[in-house]
Amino acid sequence: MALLEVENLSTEFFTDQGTVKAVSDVSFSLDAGEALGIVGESGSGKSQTMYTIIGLLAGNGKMTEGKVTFDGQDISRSSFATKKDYEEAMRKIRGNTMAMIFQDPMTFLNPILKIGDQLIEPIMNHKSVSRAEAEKQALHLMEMVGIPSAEKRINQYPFEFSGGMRQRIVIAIALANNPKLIIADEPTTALDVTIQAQVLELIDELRKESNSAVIMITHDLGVVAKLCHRIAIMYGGKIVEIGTDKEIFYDAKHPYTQGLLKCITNPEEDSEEPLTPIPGSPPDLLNPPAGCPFVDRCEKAMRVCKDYKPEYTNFSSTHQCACWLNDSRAVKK
Amino acid sequence: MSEKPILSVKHLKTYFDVTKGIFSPKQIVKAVDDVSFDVMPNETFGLVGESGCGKTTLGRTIVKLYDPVDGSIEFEGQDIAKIKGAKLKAFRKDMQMIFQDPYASLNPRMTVGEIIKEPMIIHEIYKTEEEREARAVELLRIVGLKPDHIRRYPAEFSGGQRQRIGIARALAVNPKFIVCDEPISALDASIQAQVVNLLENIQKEMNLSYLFIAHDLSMVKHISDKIGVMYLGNMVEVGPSNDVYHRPLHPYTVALLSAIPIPDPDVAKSKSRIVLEGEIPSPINPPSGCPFSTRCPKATERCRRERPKPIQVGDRLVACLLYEK
Repeated sequence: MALLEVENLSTEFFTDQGTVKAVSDVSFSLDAGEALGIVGESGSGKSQTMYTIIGLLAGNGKMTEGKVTFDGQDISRSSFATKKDYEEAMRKIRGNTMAMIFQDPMTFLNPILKIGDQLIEPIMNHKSVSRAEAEKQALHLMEMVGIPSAEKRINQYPFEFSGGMRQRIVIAIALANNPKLIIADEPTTALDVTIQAQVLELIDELRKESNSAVIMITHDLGVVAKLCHRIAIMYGGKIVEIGTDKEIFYDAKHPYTQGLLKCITNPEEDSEEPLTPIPGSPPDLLNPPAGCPFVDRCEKAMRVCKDYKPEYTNFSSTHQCACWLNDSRAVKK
Repeated sequence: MSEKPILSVKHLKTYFDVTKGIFSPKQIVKAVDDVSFDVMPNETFGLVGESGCGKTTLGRTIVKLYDPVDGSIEFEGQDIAKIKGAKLKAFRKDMQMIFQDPYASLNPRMTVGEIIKEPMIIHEIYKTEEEREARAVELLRIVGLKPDHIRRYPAEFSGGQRQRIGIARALAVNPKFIVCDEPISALDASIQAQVVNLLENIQKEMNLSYLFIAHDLSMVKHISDKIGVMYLGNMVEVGPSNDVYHRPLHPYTVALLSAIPIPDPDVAKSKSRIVLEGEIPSPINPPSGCPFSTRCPKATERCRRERPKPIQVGDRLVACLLYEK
């Protein structure tokens, strides 16, 4: 059985301007030891999908539909009678079997707590160990993520660490209880390339060692190419295409995926050709298009795309794409 | 290439005094330390390096937002390092800047039209408001926005559109040279490509030269004719962009390039990285000798003592003792 099973997940935000459909009808599953990349632009719903799963939605956000099964347990909000029950159950899971690495290591850490205290807290919250034992484990974690002279640095404050070192601490906190699932939300966006390389390598090594699953949220196709086995492309709150790394990079079916691959440069090739950008900008999720979210920017759009949501077409057991172009029922122009 | 460079920077130094109190020992950040390079007319010079390497300071010193402590900046044959007053104002007309953050670089209380017209008013390019208005509309069209956007406020635009407004403002005074300070790093991939194409098109149409500062190496390689790699305030390597990418000479360039994530799973998963140990040292106390010697896999005793001078290797300049003859 899959470690994480997400079925028809939808999340909405209630704002003064109206209801924002941030995530609509997202389904995917993930096995232990697997690395899944979720790629999308800002506002595509990639982060909100993960916040819904881990139960960290903002106050005005709500999972309106769907089911999330993690490690055999239904953790959707609707499966709990009260909000209190749900919060309690999630608190036991979060930071324990399911952990999250956040984008900005500068704001994630508490500036007035020592690094050691911030590492010890998740250990003591979830395990019945003495403080001395927790401290020993914290030291071990710091060594594991490659922080030199851990005995000295455990008593320092976050401001005494550089950006790359802080991100290592954030990773160490996430790993504190050997999670089965690590969700990394743009873990390297705030870092320089050489530091990014160090951090990505570290996440990959830890995944291999502990056989945990990793979900990597990013907008950088280079990062997913390096790290992920499977890739989901999100656009306008939906997964428009999902497949193995090779299926997405070498055999993309959705016009958005194809467009995305054309507007990045591969430095290995010396092309003097101008880039092919995707015209226009992402849809307004306050008033999402009735049909395909990509219809306004798609050069292959047909009449059906405007009014009807495309269904998934299977290209292989791992490769699905939601586009009318591949649907035999659509009338081709 | 017997042309004269439009911009020639020689031994430029920009230091900042960060001494904390009057009795504390003097602390100087050598943000740009003895940097030299040339930019030819209609050329794009890409400047890459990690945060804190001094690339933004160098860009800002060239447009004279900072004063250098030493060295010269020759723009069209005239040294502008020390000019002031009317001369500086005249120079500003020729050199403009596009900023990194499209949210912070536009005044939220001014309309798009006011933003684009302001430099025209300051430099007294047009006599009447009608002429300015007509030019602003034309500039909006050039950068791919609509004429009726002129009365709107920046808040009504997306990041990519705001960056287009910033570009229109820079073009308003018909500059010859534009310093682009990470103009695309705050944008999404599909929008980045739009802005890069726009910059390339207006370069051809208006015969512009660019200094393109970025940390995204793949985009810099795409847009630039020449690349300069900076590390800790020093220019460690300069050369034609494809050449530098495929045959990096300086050990730092080699490491930096090997860290770029390649958007191709077969290549990316088989590519081995040279993962550098440690992080960039503080520019307040830079290492003696070669600035990279503390992290360099090939460093010798001599590298820690002696600061390397740029050496000509083919059409490349490399500041590394390994290439000394």
